[in-house]
Amino acid sequence: MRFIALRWFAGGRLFSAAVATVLACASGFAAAATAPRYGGTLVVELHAPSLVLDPVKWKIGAPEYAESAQVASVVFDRLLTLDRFGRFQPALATEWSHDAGWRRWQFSLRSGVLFSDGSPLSASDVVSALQELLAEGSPGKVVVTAAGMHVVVQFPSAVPDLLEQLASQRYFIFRRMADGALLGTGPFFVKEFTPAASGTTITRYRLAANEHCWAGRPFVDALDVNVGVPVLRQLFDLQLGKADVVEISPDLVRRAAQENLRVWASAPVLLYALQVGVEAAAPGKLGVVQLVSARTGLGEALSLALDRATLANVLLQREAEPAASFLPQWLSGYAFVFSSAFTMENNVARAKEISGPLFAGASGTAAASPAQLRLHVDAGGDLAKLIAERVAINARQAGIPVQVQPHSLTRDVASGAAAGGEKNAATAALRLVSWHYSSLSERAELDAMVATLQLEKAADEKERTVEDAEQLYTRERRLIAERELIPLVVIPEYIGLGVEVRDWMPERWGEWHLADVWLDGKRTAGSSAGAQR
Amino acid sequence: MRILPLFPSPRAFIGSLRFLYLIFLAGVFLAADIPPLHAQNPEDTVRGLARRVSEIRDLPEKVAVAWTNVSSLPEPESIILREAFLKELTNRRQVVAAETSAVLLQVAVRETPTNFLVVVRVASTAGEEVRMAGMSRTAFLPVMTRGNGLRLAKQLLWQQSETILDAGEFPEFPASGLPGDAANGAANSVMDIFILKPDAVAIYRDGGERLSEIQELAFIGAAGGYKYVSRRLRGEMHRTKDGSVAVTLPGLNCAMHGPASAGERWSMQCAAVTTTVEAIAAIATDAQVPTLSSSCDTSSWRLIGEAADWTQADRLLLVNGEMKREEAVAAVDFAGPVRRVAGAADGRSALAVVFNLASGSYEVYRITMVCGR
Repeated sequence: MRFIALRWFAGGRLFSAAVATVLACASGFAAAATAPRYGGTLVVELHAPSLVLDPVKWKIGAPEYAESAQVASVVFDRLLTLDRFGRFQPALATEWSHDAGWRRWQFSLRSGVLFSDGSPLSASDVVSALQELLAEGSPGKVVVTAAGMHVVVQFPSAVPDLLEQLASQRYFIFRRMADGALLGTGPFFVKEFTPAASGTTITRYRLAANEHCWAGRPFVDALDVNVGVPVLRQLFDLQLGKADVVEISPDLVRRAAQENLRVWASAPVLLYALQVGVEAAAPGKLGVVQLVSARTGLGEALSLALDRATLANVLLQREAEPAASFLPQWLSGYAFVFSSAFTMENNVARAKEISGPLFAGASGTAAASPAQLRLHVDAGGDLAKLIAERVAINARQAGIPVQVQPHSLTRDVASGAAAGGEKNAATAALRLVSWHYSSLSERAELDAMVATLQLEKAADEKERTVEDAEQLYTRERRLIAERELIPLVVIPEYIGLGVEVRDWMPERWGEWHLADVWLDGKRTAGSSAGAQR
Repeated sequence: MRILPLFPSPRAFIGSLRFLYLIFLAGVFLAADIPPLHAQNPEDTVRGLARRVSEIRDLPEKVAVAWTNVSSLPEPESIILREAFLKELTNRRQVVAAETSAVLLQVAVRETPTNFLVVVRVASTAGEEVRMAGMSRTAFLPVMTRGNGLRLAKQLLWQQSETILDAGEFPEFPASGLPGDAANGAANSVMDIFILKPDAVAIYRDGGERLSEIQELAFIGAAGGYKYVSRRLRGEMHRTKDGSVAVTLPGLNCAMHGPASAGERWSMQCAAVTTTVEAIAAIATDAQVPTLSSSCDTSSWRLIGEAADWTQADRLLLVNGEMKREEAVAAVDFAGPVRRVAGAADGRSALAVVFNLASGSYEVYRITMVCGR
């Protein structure tokens, strides 16, 4: 299996280029004739306006929580992790087993694990955390119980991919204190929070090394996480040596490469897609509108009108890939089948044929077609606006009048049944959505996407079956064919690294592993007298 | 009127009961919602896939197969799967060469974080038929990560851009530290790390926070005009019975003598010899299988490498006695080929010299056995 680490990168030209950049940058390591060093402060800059370190509060798929998850991963531990060879590795759990029906799972907990305040981790801590986390994510009642240092999770239906789920997403183990704050067992703990000074947007979290960490003390003494830093400033700070780890937006990747900065690229983790539906008032939410299914042929016309290749290669400067499916290739393994199928066809003439009758009379369909179709930009940031503008241009070329709306629709969509009754009173609309992949279970990711965006009626608990890859493919193919969500592009995460950063060994799906990073430079000198190996 | 007995004999009655019991068990088994068996043999999985492909409606009798591996699955494994697929398909269809006009089955091996996926596509009147089967990535690893109580731990000790030929850990005072001489002070002797380079031996001491160089002995000083010339990058260090450290290089043999007391330094005497590189390679190969012991059990374990050449990332496998490579109970992965691995004198650890393919640096790791997972 020695080829895996190398061939894993062979995903396409885009990633070959990224890997070449990383390798070129990594050659800078050759000058360092040192053992890994303890000490120093790693400065991380993030664009997100704020961090939410409570995993229970994260909305699955929402990109705004992706950065919070990266920081949370150094504060909390999971029961287990997945390595790049597809092996589940013990973390807080040392052993696990399940029954023949994949409904009852048992985990044996590692003994001697301490929280950052020095108190021991108990099975009841794990039960409490899992109860909170599983209550939202799983249909039906999930029962979590403790027996000694074992935790048993009982699901109402088969969950064969539980390990993939627990090794990803928000399944961190924590202890909720009386004041609502969370304690973790991870390699760092939040020591200090500095709110934004007047006139700035930047808040600062100082995380100190957890000397009690069961997996060993991290190399650096502290992490300084600056939140709300504009992307361009992050780039400057990296150049000036003020930051060690920064986010680089796709439109700045080329510039960073030209300036010989070290840039790492993940697998594509962010999907931009176009949701097609009709606007309807959300029941019980005054002034809030939502999208519900329309099925007028508008989706097919729009899909044919879209030029994804130009979007990825010109607008996003080859730092993105055209998307033909909801799940990315690295997660599903079968997405390449869609790339050559019906989903990627760009046929403006056919799009005009379909859209013509829809907009000729501005009515007469299930959803009233307005003179201007509104495209709500649900995703934040300049990139989303750029993509929305390009979509609008493509649509207009096919005779579909689209106007970009700067404000977004709410994500808090109500039940499909309640909204369905208001379809006739609504007007057709579009929404640009962004989805951050967070699960290592392809089924869980698709389920979450379908549920959040209301692409189909949620499966009844009795209807749920164990899906293999082929069944999942069939389901995704049907969902794509319905054209209620049109995939546009997928984008990797780009990270700029300072010259002193060593052993940056993230997973391809985006986990950073900051505890393994060490600094090779003056900043570590004499700064960790108490460090231990 | 005579009523015929239902069972001609008690034995027949018992046999019928057994038969009914088996039917009952089969019924229970079929009625249960048994999920797919994830632990199925990969070859069985692709054979099953071939059977399902052959059942595609309107699939002609003659088909061609184009098999591509677009994943990290090693090519030999891919070939084994392909042969199993073709053999099963041949039992049901006539498989012909791809360049003929037969219907083409496009088979691709792909991957996800946890599985390898074999995807079969064939054009049909309805568009395209797709069949696929998944296999756990761990099914292709020589080592199962579950089910045993041993694992290998690695600790990075040193990395540098210059070539490292060998590395070893030897006591500060070489008169002590040999196996069995704990009584004369070995237990208190500091272990230094010796790095063998083409031009010198560098000695480092663990200062708690970092390694610091305490001495470097150059070959050019000990053997005037010596220049290391070899493409095979071989050199070897080992501790001799008298406590000195013997160094073998192409064309040079050296003996390093340690200090007798605190404050003194190591010295080195060298002699030009006609040692061939092959001879050194042989020495290194013998030492390539260090034995390890641990408190986990009383067995003597061996470390063996896997890489075929220096272009590949390697792993060290832990085997016991006559175990084959495939039966290894634990493994540790590296970011490049393992150039050299040598056991410590006490048998508790080994040092591995690795060339990191990503960074281009040479790295020295300490390998130890750890009980439990």
